[in-house]
Amino acid sequence: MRAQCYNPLFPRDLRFRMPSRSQRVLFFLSAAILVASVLTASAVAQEWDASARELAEKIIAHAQSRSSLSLTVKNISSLPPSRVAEVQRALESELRRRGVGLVEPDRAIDQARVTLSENTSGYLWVAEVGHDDSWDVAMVRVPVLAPTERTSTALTLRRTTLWSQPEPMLDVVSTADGGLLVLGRDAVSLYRVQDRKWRLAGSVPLTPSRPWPRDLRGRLVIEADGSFRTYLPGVQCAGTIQPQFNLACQGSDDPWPLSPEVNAFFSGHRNFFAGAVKLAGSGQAGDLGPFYSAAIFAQGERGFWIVAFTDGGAKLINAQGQVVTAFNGWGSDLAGITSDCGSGWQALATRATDSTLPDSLTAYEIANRDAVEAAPPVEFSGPIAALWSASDGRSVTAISHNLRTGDYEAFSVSAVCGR
Amino acid sequence: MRRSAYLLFAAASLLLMLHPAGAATRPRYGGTLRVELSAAPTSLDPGQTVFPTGTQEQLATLMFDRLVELDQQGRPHPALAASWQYEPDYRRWVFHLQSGVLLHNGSPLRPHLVVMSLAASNPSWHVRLQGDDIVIESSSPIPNLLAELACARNSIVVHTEAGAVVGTGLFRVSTWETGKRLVLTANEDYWGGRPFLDSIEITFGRSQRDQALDLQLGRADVVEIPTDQIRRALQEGQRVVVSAPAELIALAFSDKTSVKEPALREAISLSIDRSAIQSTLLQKQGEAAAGLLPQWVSGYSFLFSVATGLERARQLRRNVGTAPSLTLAYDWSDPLARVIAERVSVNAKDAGIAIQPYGENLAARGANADVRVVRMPLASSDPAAALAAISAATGRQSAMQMAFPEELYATDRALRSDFRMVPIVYVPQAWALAAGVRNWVTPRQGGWRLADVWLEGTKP
Repeated sequence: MRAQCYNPLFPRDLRFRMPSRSQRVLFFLSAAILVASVLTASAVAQEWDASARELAEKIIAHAQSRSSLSLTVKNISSLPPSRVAEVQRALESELRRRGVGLVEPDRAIDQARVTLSENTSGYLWVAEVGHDDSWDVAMVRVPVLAPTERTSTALTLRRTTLWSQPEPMLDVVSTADGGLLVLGRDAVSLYRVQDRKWRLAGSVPLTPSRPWPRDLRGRLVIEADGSFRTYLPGVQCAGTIQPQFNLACQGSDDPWPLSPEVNAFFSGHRNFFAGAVKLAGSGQAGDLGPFYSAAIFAQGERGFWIVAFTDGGAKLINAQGQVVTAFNGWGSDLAGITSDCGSGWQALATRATDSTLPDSLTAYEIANRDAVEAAPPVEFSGPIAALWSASDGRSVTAISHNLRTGDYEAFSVSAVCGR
Repeated sequence: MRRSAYLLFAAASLLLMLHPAGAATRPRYGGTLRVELSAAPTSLDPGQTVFPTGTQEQLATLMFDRLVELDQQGRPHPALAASWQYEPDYRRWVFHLQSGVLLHNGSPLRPHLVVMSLAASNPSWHVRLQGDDIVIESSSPIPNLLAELACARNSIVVHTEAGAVVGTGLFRVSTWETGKRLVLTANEDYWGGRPFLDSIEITFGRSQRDQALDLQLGRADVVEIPTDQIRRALQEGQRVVVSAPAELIALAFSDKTSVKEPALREAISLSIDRSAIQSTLLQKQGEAAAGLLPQWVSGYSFLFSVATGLERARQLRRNVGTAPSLTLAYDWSDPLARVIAERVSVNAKDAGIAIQPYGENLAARGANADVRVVRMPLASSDPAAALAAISAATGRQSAMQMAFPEELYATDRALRSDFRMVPIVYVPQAWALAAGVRNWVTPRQGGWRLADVWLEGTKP
């Protein structure tokens, strides 16, 4: 039976008003949705207001008369029909505020035919103003408002946004002093919160002696003393955050940490681990064959590995080194986390797709030599470009390339008990 | 755990003997991508284009780099230029080049070579060196310069003393049999990382029937799908990728006296039934075009009417007086151009204008006809850069203000005002892919993006 974890959502003195837990949850969710809806609607309305104001001014500039103008709005863009009425209301409001008398087309001196269109930059509102054969054209660019993320009531994997930027990222970790280290293709950057905003506190360029491999991978590891290490193909760096942000890099083929117990050698010119692995303590070594990622559950004779090999197969290997089974439909990135839920260990795996499609993360538990889906998949807005276990093993860092915005987004994903 | 782990390593070699299960997210290195095309280009030099075709631009993106690249969202990203600055009036731009970039012949890419390349393809710009930086100046503002620099026509091409062209791109030329076959191999020293494919083998001049057969028999990985065959290919369950409307099919009038009357050209434009061409000949693919840009790029193209104006066309024809029978050339290797030319001829006849279509190898030499059917690939998803490219291709390098949508709209109209270029239809690019081709991205504006393509079944 799965262990249930629950953190009270309300202070104790409020809880007596909630007869049951389910009602409390329902109440909280309803309130949250209501607040989010109001905030979102307000933000959208404000966004329309600015553009409606601009277009209204342009329409008036082209109209012969303010006393009798008709307004029609047609939508040929991807704007949902429910939003078209909002735009029309905003335009009518802005025109009336400027003293325009809006009338039916058959009584109008001038007509304003507004088409809600779009192009590669976003929405484009086009107004044709005039009458008979005399028409002027006015246009307003309208930025696309990013949709708010949907929430689900049945999440067991919790995703928290760590960082987002237009440039590619390889790994992101939080520092002990509340900062954020971002490993990019060209630099390691440190961000700190100042005046309630993330600000760049320092950046050290990476200057490899030869071009990076195309599907570049790299990871950041915070050491116990607060310093950090950077692992890149053929290059490793040691850095400090305090008292000064510093980084020293050198060519190195030393193995990368896969888990606290296991290190693995990464191919210097490619995007996979070469296959040779090494135990951190004893220095014992072996060769698995080339693989992309591995989730390692280390618990004596009950321990096992799940390895995503470069041939496309993910395989479960028991503590005796035997291949127990192969899993279909898994992607090539997987990582393990420990949690207080279920068996206490879950493997998080990407989906078997390529980088042109959105990806997802699914949590699996191993039961009866098989992988059992332990949580519904968490969907991402693009392919997952990197997936690394955090150093405490309680979460993974997932870097996704948002196909809609083009931005790279770093998330911390952990298991939350209860549904 | 340690003992167990040791045993694990000993048994690990057995793992690879097990069958692979499912696909993977991460790309694999290796393999040759086999591509077949109907076009037969005679040169690999983007500056030597006898006739504008999408093929030349597609090839250019494989072998040459540009200073800047646009992503799928149209945002500029550094390519050969590591960074840039510009004056607030957009008249002066300074680009700082990446260091350590090598040409395919192994020599370093020197800044003066970049200056020479850009100056040759942009006579209206003043391109010069400032230390190791590249300065681009213009008498009029060029706010969309980054998008323009991302166009294939601004590829950095270096001409060697031996007369060869070399670039810095993802692939280097291994074999070039003019108009027949091109083999490109991965540039191991590519500044952006070696591509996953080992090589690309392109066979030119393949008929559409042969292409379909070769894909079916596993002799090709990527073949063209003609616009009017897209629907059928999808119904047959082929793996088809389709861009947004990305190539303009238009009539380009010559300077010959037979078509010197603007009224005659306007009459031909008004007689064309673009909607019927789109719905019948193109099987409802693409979009009827009266403007120079597709709707998804401009946002305003719906303002230009595609309706036929036969009465007005006849009136204009009468006003012209006597007019000779006109010749209309189309590329003989382009079946779609042929059927469109024939339809234009029929439509023009309804307006009292005689047009005789005929096929010619337009890739090899310019047509001698009064009018020709041209294909103009969309140079950029940025409307200003796309219009500027069309302007340059039609020999009008004049400076245009295109910062605001109203200015773009006005420029689009102005470029067509003399009816020298008459848009007919915008068509998508479509490809059928073999099952093993992975990470294929179809840019909305068409073209190839093969940097991240890899092949299933290859061993890293």
